[in-house]
Amino acid sequence: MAWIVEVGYKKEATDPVGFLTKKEIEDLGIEGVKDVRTINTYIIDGDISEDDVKKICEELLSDSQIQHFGYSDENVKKLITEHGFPEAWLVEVTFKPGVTDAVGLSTLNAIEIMGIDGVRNVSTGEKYLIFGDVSEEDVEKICKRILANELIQNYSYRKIGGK
Amino acid sequence: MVTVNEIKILGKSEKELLKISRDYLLALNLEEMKKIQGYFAKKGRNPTDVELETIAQTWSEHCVHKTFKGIINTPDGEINGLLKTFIMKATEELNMPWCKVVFKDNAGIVEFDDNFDIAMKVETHNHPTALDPYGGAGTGSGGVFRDVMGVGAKPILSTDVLFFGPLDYPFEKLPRGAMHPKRLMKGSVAGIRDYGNKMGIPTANGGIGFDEGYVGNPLVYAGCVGIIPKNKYIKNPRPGDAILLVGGRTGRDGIHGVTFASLELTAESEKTSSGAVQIGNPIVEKKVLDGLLRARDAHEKPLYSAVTDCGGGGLSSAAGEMGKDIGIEVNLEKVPLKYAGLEPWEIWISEAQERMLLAVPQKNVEEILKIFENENCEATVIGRFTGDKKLVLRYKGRVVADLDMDFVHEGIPRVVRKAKWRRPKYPEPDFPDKDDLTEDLKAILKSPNVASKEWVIRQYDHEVQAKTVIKPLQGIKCDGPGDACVLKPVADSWKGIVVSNGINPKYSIDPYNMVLSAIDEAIRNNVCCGGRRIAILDNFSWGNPEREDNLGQLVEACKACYDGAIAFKTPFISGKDSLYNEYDTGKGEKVSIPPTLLISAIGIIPDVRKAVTMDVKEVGNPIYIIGETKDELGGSHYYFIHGFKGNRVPTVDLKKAKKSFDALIKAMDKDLVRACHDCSEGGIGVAATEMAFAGELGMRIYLEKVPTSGLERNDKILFSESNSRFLVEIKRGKEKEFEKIMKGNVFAKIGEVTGDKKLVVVGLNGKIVEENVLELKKVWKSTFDW
Repeated sequence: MAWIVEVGYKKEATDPVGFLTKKEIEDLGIEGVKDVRTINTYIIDGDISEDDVKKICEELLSDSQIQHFGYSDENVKKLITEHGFPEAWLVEVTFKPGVTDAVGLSTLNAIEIMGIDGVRNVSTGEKYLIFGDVSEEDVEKICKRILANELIQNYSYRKIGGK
Repeated sequence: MVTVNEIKILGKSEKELLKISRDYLLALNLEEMKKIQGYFAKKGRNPTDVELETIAQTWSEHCVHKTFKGIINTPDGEINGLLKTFIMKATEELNMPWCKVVFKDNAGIVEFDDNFDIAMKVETHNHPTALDPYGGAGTGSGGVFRDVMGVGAKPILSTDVLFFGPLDYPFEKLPRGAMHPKRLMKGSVAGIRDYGNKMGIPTANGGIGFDEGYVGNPLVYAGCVGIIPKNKYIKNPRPGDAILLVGGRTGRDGIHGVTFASLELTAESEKTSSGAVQIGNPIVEKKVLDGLLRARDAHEKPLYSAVTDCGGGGLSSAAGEMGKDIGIEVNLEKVPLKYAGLEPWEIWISEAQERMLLAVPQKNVEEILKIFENENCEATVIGRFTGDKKLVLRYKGRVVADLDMDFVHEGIPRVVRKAKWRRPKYPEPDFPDKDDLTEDLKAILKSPNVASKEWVIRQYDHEVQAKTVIKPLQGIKCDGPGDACVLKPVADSWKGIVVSNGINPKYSIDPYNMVLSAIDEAIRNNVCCGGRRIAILDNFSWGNPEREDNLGQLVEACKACYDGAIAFKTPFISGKDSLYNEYDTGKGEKVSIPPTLLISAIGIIPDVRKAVTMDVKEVGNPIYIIGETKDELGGSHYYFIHGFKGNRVPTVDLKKAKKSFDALIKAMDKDLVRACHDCSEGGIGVAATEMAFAGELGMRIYLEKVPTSGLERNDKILFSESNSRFLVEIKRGKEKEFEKIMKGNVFAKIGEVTGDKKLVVVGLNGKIVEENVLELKKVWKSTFDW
């Protein structure tokens, strides 16, 4: 089975990629973005226990001072409520099949070095939470021009939170 | 199910042959297809897809440099190969005893001291970067590191020169499928950063420029310097040696990269070339490097008999090149794959990254496998060298290719092309001089080509390995723009390596003088820090050479390569060309990039403690100019900010230049020079400003004292970009000694360092510039305040 791990920044910590992404969105001439937060996603495919997943998250994938982690969507929910925004656009960017995922390979290697056996593959992706008043058309533009290179990556987006 | 297809070319018409070349993305022309047809007709069979792909890869512009080796008809007669007639000829005639390996391996090698040699190579990675800037530029670095590793050297420096379209280019005007210049720049910088930093190789020299001509086709030049102990260089594979593939696994990435490089970029490129994107993994390459160095140094002689990089053209090029004189046999199913389902031809030509090939004598195979295993780096014997001068490929026992090495490597018909270039004529500017040029100076400082690139430089680790003595940012606050970087590679020796570059496509209105300018700039940047015994490298990025005017410009450029190298006594040791840099505007119009030549210079300095930086050091010291200022503002930044190109680009007085450079070095060795900076973009005005604000001291200069060829306009004296000029700060009280050394050269004392933190330029009739240097620095830094 596969574990989906998400690592995001705590509210009080600076999210450098999110900060720069917000700037780049403004450079595109798109107004109304209040904040951008990023979440790293790791899909860990293999037969490992929840204790092992937790250990991987704590020791390898996150920095407890500035980041928190979760399995599946709970992290996203936490970020939205934590930031006090009722809703956000959630953009997901992943590699197309066959494209080398160097970070995924390094993660797999590191897990092996930690002495945890049974992981077959790790693949990575990025999630972006875009808070503020942004139209769907603009989100599409942001994806195409900033967040994803369609040659090697897939992207999708949806609105989350709200009523 | 894996299949090998026979491709029916026997008996096909010319039209059908061309269609086959197009359909399989082979980028072979009709004459080449006919030659292949003839070869297989004699064999009495059709080629397999593996065979056809092998030939296409080997015969690609990227791998054999058809244009540079071809016959060119010009109005002044026939040129029998540009490379032999001009570039290699200069090296041959100079015949420097310190040139060890030139033009025949992955990188050029020159002597460093009694114990070590140094290797250098510069590559272009333009097309991959246009498609995916992060992966493209990163693997550009990764590739050039492997080139240096491919001669057995350890990389100790990474260099990068980048060109993009204007950063404020409107989205609506972008050619279809092209990324915005800003995104390309950010992606490329991140790619280079992540590759060099993660491998632990300092990036300490380079440049970034912008011009509308690169909107659809950015340029990425990645360079690398390496060091190798004497007598460790070996390239001598023998029949019976094993072929060992080490490093990354093979996947579909980078299929058709080299043949794709010979096709123009169109909006469709994005789709047809998705395979051409390469994804880098610096961690894997670091393991390859560690294993390779251990294999090199385990005994007195390396455990391998040859090593080479798997770059453009993949295994096909690497194995083919290494075995072309003896023959090879490879079992393709032995190649470790990233995922199942690759066809044999895909395995053979994939440009998956981080792979190298070694020729290993059978008795050493076990030991070398153990070394790579220890480094946690995959290594697999995939075949052997034979001795029958054949290229034989098998897949699970079945022969999928059986070709004669002679045909693969020598069979290519020489191209015959026509070259004709006519000098364009641009309007000469007619705007008047001004009484105050402070605002013009600021406009040039702010212009992206001149402005501070600290935002980029600080992302690159230029300190790792702890060899960087003179760093890219200099001065009292470490933020002034250096001319070159100096490395001290050996712990118990003060001897250093000086690396610099020269490039200015704005002068391409006159390709001959553009190239002389680039050579002069590269060498004078080197001299600024104390570099001497300089070798140079050429990297062409040009438009489609099948167009007469593009090729005419290339001929002009090559002539200048010869003249410049001979005059400065700087042999070319390596080079590379990237042609077909052209893109479709989407309206059926094809646009070539401006002809662009990068000259990289690598010199040595006997004692790094005598290296000079560009920031002024001490109030009261005199400022001298070396070299003559002429009415040469064609392609200058001053004209550019006023919307003009002009015509008279800077020339080089080849005799005078070399003589004054040598004298300046002499003065440096006598400790007379406190600071030295070259006058290039923005001329004396920008050079003086940068020296002053880097030292955070004032400077006062008098234009009437500047030696000119009868110039009577302040703006022209201040902003002319004439070559071979330096501003130098001399120790007070040492003027006489300096003047004695410089005797016989054009030079003059034009001002002094002041304590008021003001830059003052006194023109022919009173002050024309007066501004606080910190304010000028702020302006210069404002452009890339990202």
